[in-house]
Amino acid sequence: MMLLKALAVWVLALALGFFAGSGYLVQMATATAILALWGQSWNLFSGLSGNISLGHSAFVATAVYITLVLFVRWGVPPLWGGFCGVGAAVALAALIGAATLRLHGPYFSLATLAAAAVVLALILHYPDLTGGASGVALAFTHNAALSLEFTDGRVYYAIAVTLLFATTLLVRWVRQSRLGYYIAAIKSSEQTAAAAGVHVARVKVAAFCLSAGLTAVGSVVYVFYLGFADPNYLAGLTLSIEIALVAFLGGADFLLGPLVGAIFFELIDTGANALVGASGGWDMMVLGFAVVAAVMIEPRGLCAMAVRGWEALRCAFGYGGKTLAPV
Amino acid sequence: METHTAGTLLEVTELRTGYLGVEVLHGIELVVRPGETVCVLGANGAGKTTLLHAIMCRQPAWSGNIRLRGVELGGAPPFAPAHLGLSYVPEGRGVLASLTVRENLELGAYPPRARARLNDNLERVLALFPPLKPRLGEPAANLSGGQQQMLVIGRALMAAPELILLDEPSLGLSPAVTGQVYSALAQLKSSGQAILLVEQNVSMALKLGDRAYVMEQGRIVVSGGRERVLADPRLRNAYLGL
Amino acid sequence: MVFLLQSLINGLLIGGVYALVAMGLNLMFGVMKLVNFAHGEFLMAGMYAAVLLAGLGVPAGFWGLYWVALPGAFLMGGLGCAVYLLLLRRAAAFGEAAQILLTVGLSLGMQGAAQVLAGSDFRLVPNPINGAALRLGGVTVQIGPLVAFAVALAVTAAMAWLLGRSWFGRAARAVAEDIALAQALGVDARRVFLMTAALAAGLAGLAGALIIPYHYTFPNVGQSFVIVAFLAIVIAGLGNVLGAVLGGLLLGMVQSVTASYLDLDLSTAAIYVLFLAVLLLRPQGLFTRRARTV
Ligand SMILES: Nc1ncnc2c1ncn2[C@@H]1O[C@H](COP(=O)(O)OP(=O)(O)OP(=O)(O)O)[C@@H](O)[C@H]1O
Ligand SMILES: [Mg+2]
Repeated sequence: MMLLKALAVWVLALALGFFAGSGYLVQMATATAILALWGQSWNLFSGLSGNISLGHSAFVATAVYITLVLFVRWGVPPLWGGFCGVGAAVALAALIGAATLRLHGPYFSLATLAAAAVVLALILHYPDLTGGASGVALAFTHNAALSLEFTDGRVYYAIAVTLLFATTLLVRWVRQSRLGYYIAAIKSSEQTAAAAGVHVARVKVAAFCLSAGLTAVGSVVYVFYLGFADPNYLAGLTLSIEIALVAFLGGADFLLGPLVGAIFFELIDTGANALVGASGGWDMMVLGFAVVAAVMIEPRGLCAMAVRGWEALRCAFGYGGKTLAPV
Repeated sequence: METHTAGTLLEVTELRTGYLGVEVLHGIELVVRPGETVCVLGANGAGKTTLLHAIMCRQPAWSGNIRLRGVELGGAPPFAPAHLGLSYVPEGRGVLASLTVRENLELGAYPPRARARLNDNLERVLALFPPLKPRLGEPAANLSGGQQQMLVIGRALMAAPELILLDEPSLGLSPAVTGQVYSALAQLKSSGQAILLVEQNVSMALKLGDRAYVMEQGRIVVSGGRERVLADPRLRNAYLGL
Repeated sequence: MVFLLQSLINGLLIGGVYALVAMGLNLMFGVMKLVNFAHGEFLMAGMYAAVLLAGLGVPAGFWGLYWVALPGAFLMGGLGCAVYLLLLRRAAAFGEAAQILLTVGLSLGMQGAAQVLAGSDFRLVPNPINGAALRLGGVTVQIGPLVAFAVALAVTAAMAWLLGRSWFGRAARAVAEDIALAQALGVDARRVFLMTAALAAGLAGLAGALIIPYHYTFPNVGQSFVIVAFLAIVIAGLGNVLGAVLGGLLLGMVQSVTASYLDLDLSTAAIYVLFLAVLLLRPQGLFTRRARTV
């Protein structure tokens, strides 16, 4: 039933995209879908387990650059190169996870933050291979599925939406699976979870790798859609924070939280750009202070706010009901 | 209902409090007068620690009053009781393990009213607990269990308190060490120090105490002088849960 | 040989700046159990404060620039108080995840605000200290970094006294170990937090003031220092304030040596590898025995 409904929404989303044409709206929708997908992937580990990754852009950049370098230097088809890229991102996650996830405390957040800085430094250090700070531009002349080259933007939209749906269903499945229960148990108390026989470190590393892998898949598609790779964006702190913000803003406890967060974020971002322009630091300032405001106003996100408002309304009209669990 | 008398040091009236909406103390009445040693006895989970936490403002009172020399303590921040002359010896080992023995003692004199007499009080404490003297420079974590308990009591005395509250000072100590701790408490008592002593070790506590309260499930069920409480059958009931 | 010595000295001097930044981070982590991801932005804001003041006029003389740079450190202490009172005090109840995002958001917001207010140009106030150097044998010692290093050592000694001997220090260490117990002893934890936040931000601001003569000011200048400082506090041991100094000096030298023999970009990677190795082999940190101390 749930699957059927999701399928219907998916078909509807695709149809809407195709009738909307190739214009600005579809571009925005594609970017939103990718952002939501990243947020969803981030949430799968960081949101559900409470271990905040501040370096998901490391996985974005690793996957993108490995795919691009294989493609541009050695002509490996991006579809195949993409697998290598995603594999490398997962391997990086496994390394970081193995070193930090068995420890209590902020080690994980610090390690992920620094990992993105290292990936950026490495990209900049090998300009012959990566194009350095000026990035990599891809010129598309024809459609080639194997090269992820499509002249019609709607194809990317369709891919992005499909991936988003697949990821959301996967996250839903994970939350209900044994892995999901383990993660939830770990979030409430690692000691209790360990005492109950959960391999805490192993579960955390596995979930983190899954999160990094899903992020990487979205990234490869995104960069071919953009046709351009800018290392300072793809491996930057800003992107990492955007990814975390989207999940957090929507509500880490809600399945559709990242989607809600991504839509809200794109609206704010577009609005801010229209008002003051994208450059000059405004975007960064708005993003940063938006995070601060989001945390201070409702640390459980927009969905929690909506639920709270809905409950208040129901109570006002005399319907009691279940309330949100306390933090 | 006892009324406030000029000679009262600590006066708790109609105190109710609890955790997560569940009431644990159901209207406690308790008085300590200057120079007195008062015991609070009761089985596991009776609410003794909760009572001390409420007095120390660690735990907000839901209703009722806690007065120190007539001054209301209820609603004060948790650092206030120390400044007003209450010292607290928590349940279990309450040492600051990463600080040295000397630093632990010095922190006992943190309230400004105690700082001026820091050196005098330090000498007094070391005279009371000679085993601490050679270990002043060591981390408190290195001390044995009994020495840690001495350190915590000594730290409480560094504030030259009007009233010292002790939560099960004999917990987990060998009989010999318990004896040492209690003889120190007896010395304190004879010097005129007011003491509020929470214990499960009834015989030790009642040897020291002038008066006692017996708690059962958040209520005072017996109170009075030492002999009266010892003779009361409800004291045994409180422990055996009959 | 002289080349190695030179790069070790350069690293040691820059390490003093890392030490100042790392000390504040670890102080805040030890006492408040909070990693302040916006810590680097206090360094940045301190630098901009100095640049702004220098724009109004720099006292004459060789050391003139320091007179306008140092007030920035005090301003940052005030800013630290404000951030604690407005944000961190309330956020303490929100849990670790929310606190991390809060300070990260603050970091990004402050970087953006700096760019909006001051533009993204690299600024350097012209001054005689920049480029001045002592020559000892074959080795050159730049005056600016030398002063920063010397001040860092003096501040380390002052911090050792403050934490070890003063009432504030004993209270802060008590709060770090057991906040409820510390309060029962009469310590007002909120005041300790406020002073900790001010001190930490002030140390970052001081680091910014000390590099003003020879380091460019730009909106994300804090990041390059704070990331090394993050790694330094983990390598030294989280919460260990004086260990953080050793961590900062060590990473300064590792960075300088890898930068001179390989490349500056690769030095970040080298430090990161060291960081991962320490986490795998000695997670409590190189300079911490067992218990977490301040
Ligand atoms: N932090 C807490 N949260 C919830 N309930 C608590 C908490 N602390 C104590 N309680 C409950 O309050 C009641 C009284 O506990 P308290 O610790 O005051 O008893 P006690 O008399 O000190 O027992 P003991 O002799 O074991 O120290 C118990 O039922 C206990 O389960
Ligand atoms: Mg108890």
